[in-house]
Amino acid sequence: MSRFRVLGAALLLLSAAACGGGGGEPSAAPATDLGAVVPVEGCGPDSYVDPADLSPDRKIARCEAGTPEAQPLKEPATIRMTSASRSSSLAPIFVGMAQGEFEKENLKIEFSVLPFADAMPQLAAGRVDVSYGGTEAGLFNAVSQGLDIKWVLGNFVEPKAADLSQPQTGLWARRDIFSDPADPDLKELKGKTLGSTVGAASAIAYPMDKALREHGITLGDMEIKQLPAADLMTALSNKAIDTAWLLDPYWLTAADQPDSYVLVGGQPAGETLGGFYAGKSMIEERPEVLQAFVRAYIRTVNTYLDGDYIKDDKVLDAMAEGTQQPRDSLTRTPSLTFDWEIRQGTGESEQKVFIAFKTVKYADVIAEDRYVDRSFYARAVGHSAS
Amino acid sequence: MSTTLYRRPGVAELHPVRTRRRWNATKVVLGVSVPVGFVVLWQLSAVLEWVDPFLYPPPSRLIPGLVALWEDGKLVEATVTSVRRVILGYLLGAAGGLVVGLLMGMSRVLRAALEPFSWAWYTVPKLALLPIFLTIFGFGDTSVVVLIAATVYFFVWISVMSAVMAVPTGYREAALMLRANRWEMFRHVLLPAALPEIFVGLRISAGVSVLMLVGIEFVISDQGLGYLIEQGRTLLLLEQSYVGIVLVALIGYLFALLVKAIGRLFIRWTSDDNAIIPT
Repeated sequence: MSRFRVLGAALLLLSAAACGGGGGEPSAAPATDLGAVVPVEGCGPDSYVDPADLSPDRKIARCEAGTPEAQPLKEPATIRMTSASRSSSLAPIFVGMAQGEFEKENLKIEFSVLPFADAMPQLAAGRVDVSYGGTEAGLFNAVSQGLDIKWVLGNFVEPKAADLSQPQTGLWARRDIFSDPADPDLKELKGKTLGSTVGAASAIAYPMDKALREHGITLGDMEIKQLPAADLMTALSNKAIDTAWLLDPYWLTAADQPDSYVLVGGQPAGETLGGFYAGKSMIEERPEVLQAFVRAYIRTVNTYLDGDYIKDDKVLDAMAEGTQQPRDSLTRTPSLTFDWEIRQGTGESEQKVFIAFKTVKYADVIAEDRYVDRSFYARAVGHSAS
Repeated sequence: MSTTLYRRPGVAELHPVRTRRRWNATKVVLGVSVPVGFVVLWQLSAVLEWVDPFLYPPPSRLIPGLVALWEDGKLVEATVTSVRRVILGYLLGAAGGLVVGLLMGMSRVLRAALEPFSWAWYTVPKLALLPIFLTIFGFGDTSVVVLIAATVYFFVWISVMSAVMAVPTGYREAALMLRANRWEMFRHVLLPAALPEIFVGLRISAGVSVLMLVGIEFVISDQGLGYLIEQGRTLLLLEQSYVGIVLVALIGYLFALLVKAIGRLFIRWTSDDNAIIPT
């Protein structure tokens, strides 16, 4: 008899667990109405650029220093934020934290390091609020499989991208692979090896492909070798690979040896390839908190990070603390041009490359409104048409 | 007062053949039913949404994933690459470990000279040596194979040396009484006595070699099952990762089974401890 009781109890527990898992999840809190978009003092017409404007020499959106003004949340809120590394491109976060810009909004940032691919499911599940990453194939696979993740803020643009005489992050090649090392013909890159951290699945697949297409070849014409970022320069100098997409600060080593290496392609001028991504827990359940975060971010850029910010001691101190890199290392690379906006078509161009390389498992480009939400940064600067 | 204990013969004594057959059948059923039960539970937990089916794709979703990987040739290429690397690395490492382990097990002088140094190296995580290996052997297969070999070597070396040292002194004394020379002592006493333990070590290192392979392919390779798993994780194609994980588990199991089967050819006198390879 007792055996049947145990069995009955086990079945009851199982069915309770099944019911609990299936329909007992806490219902989503009703979304807070953020109200009508109102003009923001200090943020004029230059604070918002039409997303369709892809011109590399366009003026990057800016407000006056100290604006948009803080609107502290009624209750203190915490944002759980992740990033794959403590990159110097996170300066607005580190400087904003050090200068109390998030505190002014009654916000606390809990920062942790987590690869973007691992952060995405957490983002969709609401265990992470905001993630910093790139428009990678993994993002589009996640969106295509129904994960609710939106790109809400851009990160930075590279104004010098079109000028390959300026050393920078980009596609570097060994000169000795060309028949004329002094005057490399990039068509000769066909069939050569290309080292990259995430291969044809990373956000830089698009600029790499774009750079090669300008010379009549595509990324598909090269053999991609996937290596950690720190090993790319070693592999290049060992001649294990012919070219590599070198990130900050690794390209500095190549730039120091102009007789051995040449920059053959840069980032797409004027386009951000990554930034901040938010999940349903922020966009739908706590939009006022995300709005406060975006406001603090934009204010930090306007106040401390416009221009050659690396020469500002208090900015450098905050970056050294946030990135955990020595000050000397940070000053070796030039200041970035932060751009919180998201250009129209960047995601589409990325997807086309990913589809060609089969790093996404769908064949038709996903519409931008499924993974981009410009409303938060537009509202922060008072752009009423958003 | 003395007590006499009587014991009736049990089923095993009365029907030894039938009992053995029944036990063999039971072992196979138990060995198979646990993984089958696991798969059923896994499927149920996803279907009933006890877990998020996106993060933990159920077995039913792995089959289309497996077919897709098979059709575009990725699966065969990755499996062949990984199997080739692991077998080469294992053979190299096991051969080195066997020779050195036997020599050190038999020679006090060698043990005194090499043991502290070898133990120190044994404790170094071999993945930490990856940058050095990459510089020496380049970014190709050689680095992967040598790193697996280095890992396997230490596991085999320790088990072989310990096995030889653990041979009871009585065995050696008996052989000495029969005037056995060094070769005879090795061939007829030390090796047969140490072989069961040596094969345990070889079997453990077979599993370790697969662990190491996946670790290395996670970090540097753009081929192989480890890469397939890592790529699936990065691209959020979790079915691909899971297919890779299941394949790695299967390869690890089959590899250990193969070593065990080879072992059985050499050590027929030891008792069986495996459901799939009955005595």
